[in-house]
Amino acid sequence: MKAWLDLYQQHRDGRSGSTDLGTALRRRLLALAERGHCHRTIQGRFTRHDGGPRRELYIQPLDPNDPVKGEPLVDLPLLVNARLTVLALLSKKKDHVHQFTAMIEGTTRVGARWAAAVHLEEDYATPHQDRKGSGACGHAAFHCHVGPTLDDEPKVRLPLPAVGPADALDWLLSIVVPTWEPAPWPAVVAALPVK
Amino acid sequence: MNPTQALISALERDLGGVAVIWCPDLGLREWLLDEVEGLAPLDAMPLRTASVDEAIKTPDRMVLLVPDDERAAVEELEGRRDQLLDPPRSQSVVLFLLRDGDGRIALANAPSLSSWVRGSDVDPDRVAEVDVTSERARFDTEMGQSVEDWLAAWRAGAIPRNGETFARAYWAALLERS
Repeated sequence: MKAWLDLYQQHRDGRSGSTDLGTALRRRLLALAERGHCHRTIQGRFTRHDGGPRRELYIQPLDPNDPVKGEPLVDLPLLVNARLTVLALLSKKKDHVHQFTAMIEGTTRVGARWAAAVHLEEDYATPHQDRKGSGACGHAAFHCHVGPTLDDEPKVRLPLPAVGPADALDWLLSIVVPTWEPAPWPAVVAALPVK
Repeated sequence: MNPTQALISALERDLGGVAVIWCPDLGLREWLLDEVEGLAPLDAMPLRTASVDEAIKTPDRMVLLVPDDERAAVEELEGRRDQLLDPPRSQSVVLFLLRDGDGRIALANAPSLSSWVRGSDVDPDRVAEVDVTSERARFDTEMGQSVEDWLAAWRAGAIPRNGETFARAYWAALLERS
């Protein structure tokens, strides 16, 4: 049990931090636009709402009348009709992430539905906070889903390491965007301690 | 216009000029500082300082001016306007003032500076603030149930999970009673 307990504790600790999540996410979305996978106006459309003590980060739609929600992703070699969703719910005082979701939905080149998402469970709304399901292994507070949809059974809910929301978005993008790699092996090897 | 676009517009309106960002309080001022830094072009090399003098001496960097004494800073900017114009700046000075601070009164009494920044001043948090009461009523009308009832069904897993419903869930969570 210790590994799962430690991971849960890391997930909880990772909710607070001094780094600016909004800026970190916007930087990645802008990089995505610079590679031609989404519209460049995403810089100004990745924005926020404030309501009472909470703040929501979201991507304002390019076309508010588009019946399909999510940011259109184009020029992906393995997916068509792909859409990206990035959402965060924060404490307005900035030092706490209540909930985070990044998701890509699309259709594979052979016509199958495909979805992947990273999800940090909400931690404020119920007495159980972010402790969903039966335990920290089967339903880790920070996990990813991959499947035809997020509802197909059996649901794959793979625990994520405590990398934080922005780095988890990197991981998600690395699945579908060629050469999206925030930690290329040469850089990793160069950063390893010399033995 | 959303708060991010409002910020970008204020920053881009008069490149090399002075923009004013109104902040609701000191905690949220930090957020706004990070946000402006994140929106700055790569060549702007944002520099945080409390000193008007340092701002004037760095015309080639976007200066995020966060004064310890707002009144004194505004008065100094008013008095040294010529030095802000000559040599011409390639990057703006972005002055962070508290919404209800001394800087607002000082700016009202600084005719030259206040005229210069008109149209380049923005209160992003006011733009971001949603009217929770009216948005809750709208949610009720559109969804045929209250925010809390919809969220209860969402949390029970009774609503399919996709981009559209996740967006609705986050919106509902923002509107939910604390």
